[in-house]
Amino acid sequence: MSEENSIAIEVINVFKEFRRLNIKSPTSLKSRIINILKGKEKLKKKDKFLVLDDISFNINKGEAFGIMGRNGAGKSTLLKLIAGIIVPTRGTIKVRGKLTPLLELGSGFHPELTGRENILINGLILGLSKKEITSLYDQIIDFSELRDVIDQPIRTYSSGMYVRLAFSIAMNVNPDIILLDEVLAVGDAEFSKKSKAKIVEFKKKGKTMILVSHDPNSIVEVCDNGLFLEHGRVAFLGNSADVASKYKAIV
Amino acid sequence: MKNFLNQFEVLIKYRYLIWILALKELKVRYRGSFLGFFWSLMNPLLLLIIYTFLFVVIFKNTAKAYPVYFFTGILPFTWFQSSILEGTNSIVAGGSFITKSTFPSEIVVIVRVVANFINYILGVPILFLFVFVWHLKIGFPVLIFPIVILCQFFISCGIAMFLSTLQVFYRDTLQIVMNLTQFLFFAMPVMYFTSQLPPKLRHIIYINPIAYLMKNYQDIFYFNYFPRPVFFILLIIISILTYILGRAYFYIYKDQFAEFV
Ligand SMILES: Nc1ncnc2c1ncn2[C@@H]1O[C@H](COP(=O)(O)OP(=O)(O)OP(=O)(O)O)[C@@H](O)[C@H]1O
Ligand SMILES: [Mg+2]
Repeated sequence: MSEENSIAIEVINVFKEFRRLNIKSPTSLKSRIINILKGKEKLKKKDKFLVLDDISFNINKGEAFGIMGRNGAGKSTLLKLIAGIIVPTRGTIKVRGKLTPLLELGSGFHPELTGRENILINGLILGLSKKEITSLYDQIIDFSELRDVIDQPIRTYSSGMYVRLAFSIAMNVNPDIILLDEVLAVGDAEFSKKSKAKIVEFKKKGKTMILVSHDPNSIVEVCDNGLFLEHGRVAFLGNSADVASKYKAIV
Repeated sequence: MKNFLNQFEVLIKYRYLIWILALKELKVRYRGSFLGFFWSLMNPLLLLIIYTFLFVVIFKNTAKAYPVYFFTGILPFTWFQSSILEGTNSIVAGGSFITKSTFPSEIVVIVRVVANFINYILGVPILFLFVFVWHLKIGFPVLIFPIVILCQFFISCGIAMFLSTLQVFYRDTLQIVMNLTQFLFFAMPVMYFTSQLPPKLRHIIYINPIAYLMKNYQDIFYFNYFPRPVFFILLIIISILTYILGRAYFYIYKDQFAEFV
C-alpha cells in the first residue's frame, strides 16, 4: 500500500494511434459523403499510425523524470496523455496529485490580453480562487522579472518572456506534478539557472516533475531518472546520466 | 437528481472564469474601437431602420409602434444567432485552451453565449427607451423576463455545444449553420406579426422553440401579456432538455477534440 502511494505517475502499456491527416482526409462533409459513396470510407483504418507503442514506466513522488528523443518521437504526445489532454488508444495512465497543465511555448495564453490578465485566467483554469491568485500576483511577477511589461498584451512578448511567465505561474500555484515541454531551452542563461534552482527546491518539497528536453546537460543536471524514446518505443529507461549518454550516442 | 445536477456543475464551478473570459472576449473585440460596444448595436439598429422603412413606408402597415416590436425580437435573435455562430466555431478556434489545457472545454462554447448575452443586455435599456417613447406599457409580464433569458441561455448553450462538436469533424457545419440561422430569421415572427400569416401557419410556426422564445419577449415588451402557463413550462423543459442533449453529444466526443482541432 505505502509503495503504491509513493508512485506519482503510472504509465501501463500505453499505445497511441493518430489518424494520418492528409489532404484527402475527410474533414468536409462533401468529401466524406463522396468517400462513403465510393466505398472508400473503410480505408480509414489504414490511415492510422502508431505514435506510442507499448510504453510503460513509473515515476515516484519527488522524482524528476527526463524524456529525450528525436523530433517526432512522441515526447509531447506522451506528456499530453499524462496531462489528460488526449486519451490513450489502449493502456492506462494513473496520476496521483494536482497537475499543472502542460507547459509549452504559448500554452493557455490569450495573446490579446495583458500578462496580468493572463495570470488571472491561468490561475482560474488551474482551479484557484480569485483571492488566491491576487495574493500570488507579486510572487509570480517578481519571479518572472516581467514587472515592466506585465500590463502589456502578451502578443508583444518575446518567446523567452512567454516562457518566463508560463513557468512562473506553473511554479507558484503550488502543484504536485509539473510537466515541462522544452521550456528551459528558451529562457536566457540567467533565467535558466533560476528555473533550475526553483526545480530543485520544488523537488525537495517532494513534488514530481517531467521534463522533455533535447539538451542532455539539463537532463543530467535536473533529473534523477529518464526515458529515451525512439519511434514511439522505449529505447532506454534508467537513470538520467545513462539516458543522456545513450541519446548523445545515437542522435 | 445528483446526476441531473452534475450537468450544471461546470457552469457553477467555473462561473467566475466564464464571466471573466466573456468580458475579455468583448474587450478584445472592441479594443481600439472608439464606439466600443455600440458597434454591436449597429447591426440591429440598421436592420430596424430597413425593416421599419419596408413595413411602414412601403407596405403601409399600420401596426402600432412597429419599431418596438421589431427591436424586441431582433435583439434576442442577434444574441441567439451570434452565440450559435461563434459557438459552432469556438472549439476549432479554441487554440491552446483545447490542445494544451485540461479545463472543461465546454467553457469555451459557453463563453460565447455569455459574451453575446452581455451585448444583448446592454441593448435592453435602449429597448426600454423605445417602449417609453412609443408610450407602450410594461406590466407584470416583465417578471418572467429573467426566466426567458435563462431559457434562451440553456437552449443556446445546448445547440452551440452540439454544433461545435460537429464542426470539429465536419468543417462545413459553420457554413450550413450560417444559412440556417438566416432562414430561421424569416421563419419566425420577428419582422412580421403572426396575425399576418395564413391562419393555418399561425400555430405551426411556434413548433419551433426559438420562435416561441421570441414570442415571449414580444409578450413582455410589446403586448404586455403573460404567456400561457402550459406553453411556458414546455419552453422551460425544452430549454433544459436541449442543454442536456447538446452537452451529452459534446461529452461523447470531447476527449478527441485536442487531436482533431
Ligand atoms: N493531433 C495529431 N494528429 C496527428 N498526428 C499527430 C498529432 N499530434 C502529433 N502527431 C504526430 O505524432 C508524432 C509524434 O509527435 P510529438 O509531438 O509527440 O513529437 P515530439 O517527440 O514531441 O517531437 P519534437 O521533438 O519535435 O517536439 C509525429 O509524427 C506527429 O506528426
Ligand atoms: Mg514536442
